Amino acid sequence: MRTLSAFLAIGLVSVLAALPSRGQPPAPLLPPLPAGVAALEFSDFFVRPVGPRGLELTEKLLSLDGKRVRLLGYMVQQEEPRPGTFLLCERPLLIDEHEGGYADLPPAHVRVLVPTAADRVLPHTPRPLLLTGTLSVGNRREPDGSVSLVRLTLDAPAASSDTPTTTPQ
Amino acid sequence: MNPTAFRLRAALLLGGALLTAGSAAQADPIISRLNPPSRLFSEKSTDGPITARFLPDQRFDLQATVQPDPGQRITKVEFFVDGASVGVATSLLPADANGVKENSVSAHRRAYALSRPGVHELRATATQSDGKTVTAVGNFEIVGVGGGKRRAKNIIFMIGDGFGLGHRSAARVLLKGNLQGKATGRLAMDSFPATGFVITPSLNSIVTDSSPGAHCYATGNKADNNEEGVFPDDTKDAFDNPRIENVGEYLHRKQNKALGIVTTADVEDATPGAFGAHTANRGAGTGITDMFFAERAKSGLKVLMGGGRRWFLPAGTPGSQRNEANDYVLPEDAAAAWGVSRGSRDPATDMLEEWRKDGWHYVPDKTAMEAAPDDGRLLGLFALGHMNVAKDKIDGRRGTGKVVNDFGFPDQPMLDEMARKALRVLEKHRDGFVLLVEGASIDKQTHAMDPERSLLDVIEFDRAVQVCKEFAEKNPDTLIVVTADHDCGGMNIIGASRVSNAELAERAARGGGVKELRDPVVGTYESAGFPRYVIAPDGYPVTTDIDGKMLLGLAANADRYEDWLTNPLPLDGRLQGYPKGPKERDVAGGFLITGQVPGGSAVHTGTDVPISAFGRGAMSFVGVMDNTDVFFKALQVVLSGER
Repeated sequence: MRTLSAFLAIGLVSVLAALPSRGQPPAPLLPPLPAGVAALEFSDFFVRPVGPRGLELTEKLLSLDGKRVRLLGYMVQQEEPRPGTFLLCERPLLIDEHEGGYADLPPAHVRVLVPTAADRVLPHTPRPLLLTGTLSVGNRREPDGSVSLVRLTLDAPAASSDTPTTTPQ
Repeated sequence: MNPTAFRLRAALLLGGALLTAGSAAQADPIISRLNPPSRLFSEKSTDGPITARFLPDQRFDLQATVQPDPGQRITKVEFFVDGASVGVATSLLPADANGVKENSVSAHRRAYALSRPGVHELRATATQSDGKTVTAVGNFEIVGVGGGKRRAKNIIFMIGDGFGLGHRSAARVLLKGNLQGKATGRLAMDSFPATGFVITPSLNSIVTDSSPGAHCYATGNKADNNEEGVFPDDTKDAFDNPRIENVGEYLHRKQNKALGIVTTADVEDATPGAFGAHTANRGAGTGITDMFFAERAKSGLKVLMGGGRRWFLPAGTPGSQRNEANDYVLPEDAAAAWGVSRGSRDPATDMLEEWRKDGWHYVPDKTAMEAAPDDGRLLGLFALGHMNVAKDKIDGRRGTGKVVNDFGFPDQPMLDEMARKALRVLEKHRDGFVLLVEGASIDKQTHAMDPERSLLDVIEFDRAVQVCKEFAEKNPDTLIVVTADHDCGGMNIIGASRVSNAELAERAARGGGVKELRDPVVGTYESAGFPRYVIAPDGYPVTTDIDGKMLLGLAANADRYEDWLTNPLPLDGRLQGYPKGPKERDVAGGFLITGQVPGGSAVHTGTDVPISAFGRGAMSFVGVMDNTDVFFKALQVVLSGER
């Protein structure tokens, strides 16, 4: 099977930081941000603390709608992956769409759209992925019946200036 | 059992088996299930105890699963009690569960009730399209009430989920300490005059889960694991099962009592769900929370507080988990017979708005809860899912922890604060109330094998017990029952650390495994001594990492690393930086404790759990009792008075 990086403009990021102290997340070493690309993190998605209703989108996330961003996350391992798309969230996760739907997904996740592999189911890659693409924010019904809130349409490999710069694990 | 009794039993069972085999060969169709469940139907045994018991006029559905001959269909099912017809089934639903023959049906006669005490014979006769018939026989009991004096007006069920005797003993050591072998203080629940043991199995296992473990207190009956407010059936639909009227519904119908449900879990979780919903799927959050609302007029629901806002936000809202797959529509005959709405699959509905439009005060945090008026009805949803646990809420209040901020809900109330508010609202209801108060994460944190978090939740639960006790002292027509649905983990005190906390931390960092963290650390018997914790003015330990700290073990644990130090963060599968499972935590110490069970979670055990009672009728709760007995003892006190 071809690797995911054969299809995508991504960096497979090694977590090179020292072991975390108790309760502290590791800090990955990322390559410099390409020109014209904004840095986005999952913690940027929703206003904290949570208000009286649901989660509210931050000004930062809304301001990046339609812009190119870079996001670090993990590809969700899905029981029923769909061609040309996968889910990305902050940490490794397995979901069983048949058993629990998308209930196990954290609210802060992204549906990644891969135009260069629209007809292919992409292989699960269990390493951190550094993705660059165009952000789209707002509810949209997907072909599988789910509703996505945040999407990232990946750059085609040739169009990306964010080539892998770190050592795959 | 003596040998003679054994031979008699074997002969009876053999006879029953031959009779069943003969029936099957000569008289298809067959009735493969008859509800209410009984040993008479399942085992052809007239031996006690009777499985299904009800109060006089308590409503329940009669149900039979009927499997026709190939090519035939079932045309009619009629039910008889003590030989007299009580009606023809009003629904013949497809029995489409795995293992059931094609064209099988689940037949129901809904909302039946009987007042005459005693054991009654239940018979179902089914007819298939070629005229062949089949009959099955079972039984149930109507439990008489009476002979009492001084009735209780209010009942407070306090359920520490997963709260075993080991949890109770350890929390007492943590909170009160011992000197020269004597406890230097008691928990609030220890002050209750009556204490006993509760036997906890469910209908289909010696080890219950939380839904039948609470359903037994709410209905007086057993249920299969994962089910609440219903008996099992053979359909895939989780909301068409035969129902049993629960304590809130029964006492609202009979005495116009109000119902309050207060939990630290998601309000759709198994224990609160058993007091307010009827489903074979404890995980059907959309349907369960919608049923709370749809059937509020039947249950008298007046207070609902806990976590679980995710089930109230319209699908598509960030944080919502409402979805069509676990919503419900009741069969038409069930809705008509029980006098309730059929419900609808409506994940896009904004349920917060629906509750508000119905006149409920909605409060999203502690500040709003305390400011809400005491008259009216109160909906408090303090987190998207389960609320944070006592340790993390207290650390947040002390400014020593960030967990509640990470979760986005820094102003969550403690369980005792929620209980106090619930009582203020419910006491306005002049006809009395039924209140469930659940300490939910005693269980969840024991599953996570995090003893400190579990025990601080016991302290939180006990503080709620104290609040309710003070209410009952002022309102002596109140009965409080404090118990558990089951034990979790078999957690217990194994001794105490032989080293200082600083040394323990050094050993955990060195990573020597057993050589560093077991042999020189775990003090048993007299090496344990008497750990002394300092309690802060907020009522919780200043720290659980003292020199010579109490050490706790688990009898039903999964693999975990252990360094005995208090875990700075709870397990969480979603937040970055949080350990996802017990093998991602305490790894540096290298001390792997191999579990007896697979997976990443400690499990419930089948041991008895303690029960303590206070107030009107408390002395009924002495001795060893089945979990379903608790319902009948409590209802005797409410309906007729203490005996």
